[in-house]
Amino acid sequence: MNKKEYIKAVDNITAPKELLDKIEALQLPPKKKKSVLKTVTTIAACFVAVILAFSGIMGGTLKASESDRVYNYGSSYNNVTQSYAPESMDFTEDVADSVTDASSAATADRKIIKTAQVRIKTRNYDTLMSDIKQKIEQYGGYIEQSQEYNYDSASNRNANMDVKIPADKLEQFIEELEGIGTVISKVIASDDITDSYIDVESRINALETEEKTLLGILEKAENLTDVIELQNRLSAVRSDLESMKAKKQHYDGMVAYSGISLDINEVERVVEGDDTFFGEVKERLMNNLYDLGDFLCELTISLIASLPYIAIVGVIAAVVIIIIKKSRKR
Amino acid sequence: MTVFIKGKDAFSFAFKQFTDTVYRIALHNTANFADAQDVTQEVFIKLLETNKAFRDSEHLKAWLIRVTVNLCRDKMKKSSRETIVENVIFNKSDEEKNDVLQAVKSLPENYRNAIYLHYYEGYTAKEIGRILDAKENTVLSWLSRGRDALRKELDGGFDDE
Repeated sequence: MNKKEYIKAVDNITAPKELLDKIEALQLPPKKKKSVLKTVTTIAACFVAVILAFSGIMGGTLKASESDRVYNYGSSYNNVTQSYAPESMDFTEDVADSVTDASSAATADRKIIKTAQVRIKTRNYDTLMSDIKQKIEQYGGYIEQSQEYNYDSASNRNANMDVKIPADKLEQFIEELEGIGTVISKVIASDDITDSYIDVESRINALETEEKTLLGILEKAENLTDVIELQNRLSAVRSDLESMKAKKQHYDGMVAYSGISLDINEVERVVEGDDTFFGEVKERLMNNLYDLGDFLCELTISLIASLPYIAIVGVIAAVVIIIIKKSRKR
Repeated sequence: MTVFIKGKDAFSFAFKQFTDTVYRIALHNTANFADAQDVTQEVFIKLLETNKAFRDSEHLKAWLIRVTVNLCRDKMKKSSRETIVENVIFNKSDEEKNDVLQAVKSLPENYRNAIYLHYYEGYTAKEIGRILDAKENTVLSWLSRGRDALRKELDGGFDDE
């Protein structure tokens, strides 16, 4: 009885319309993305202009986080560098505060978190994997996690790795990757956290001062209720201080080490074409030749595999022919 | 002679025929709708990227099922690492409606996938073994243990016919 209910319940699960749209859109050639990126940048640029004008009127300062991305879709088009508009912006209400912020930001080095996503195709999966592991060690990085799959035959392996590399060596490391495998896409993003970092630092300073003051008052306190109240306050301040320090440490780690997520795909062959007419012709020709080879290979295999049947049919045919010939002679 | 489907043909065929199957398996193996949708998308991205030639639609379907199960496992691993595991599986109103579904989802991974593939998709234990890379007997024991667990969970059991 419950089995029917289960089947009914599963029947009711259907992929929602928006998901279908998304999947259908996957098929479209990546060239479309170019125009989408263009519109995004145009809209972003207008947005920035409006915000800048607005901030000029307000007389406040604008803090912006930047993120530069490099899209590199192998054969479809060459590097397109996009500067994105800040996703979140905040106005500092306190003018004095923002002035000190600005000056200290100018002197101190900026805190920037860099992350990258790289997709690699390779024919020599094993060598590539060991090369990558060796390079990671060489650059003083480490593997945060890694998963390897084998979806089907031996030539279709796939690995996902999260790798941490010292931030100053990120670009160099990616260049190395380009040397040892075919990079089909890379996205490098940087997030400027200087402002939040300074916020955390000043919070720590303020909390430490408060802690000292409270300790001073505590020494002079006389009645018990005051002492208890002061101690409550003190423990609250200390726990805030701890969490702020932890946050700072976390930021430090993120800034010092860049995260790279690597997606490695094993393929039977790597086709490198370009956008020109002949490039396209070459790519399609190569594809068709490869398919033809595949087909002939498969044909030979099925012919050889069916040899036993062919032998039996042959014997039967021979017998039949002999019988027919003999009966004709008579 | 064998005819192959691959590349865009395989994609559009899979999109028409198996999107719901992929989505259903994803929903069986992830915490919420959003994750299931993500996984479904990723499966199709994988299909676009792969250079594999499929013998027939069954071969393609089996491949999709295997990839979906793997990606779900991946996703659940990641999400349990980053955030506290979400227990929200269905919206409340749905929860009442999908009582049996809920019970199946709460089974261990291999049990629930075996139950789904056998009772909904109609695969035999042998075929499930081939898809999930296990022995036929293992699959049979998954099915019977899954049924036992469901019998405890639900009134009236989960009949085998």
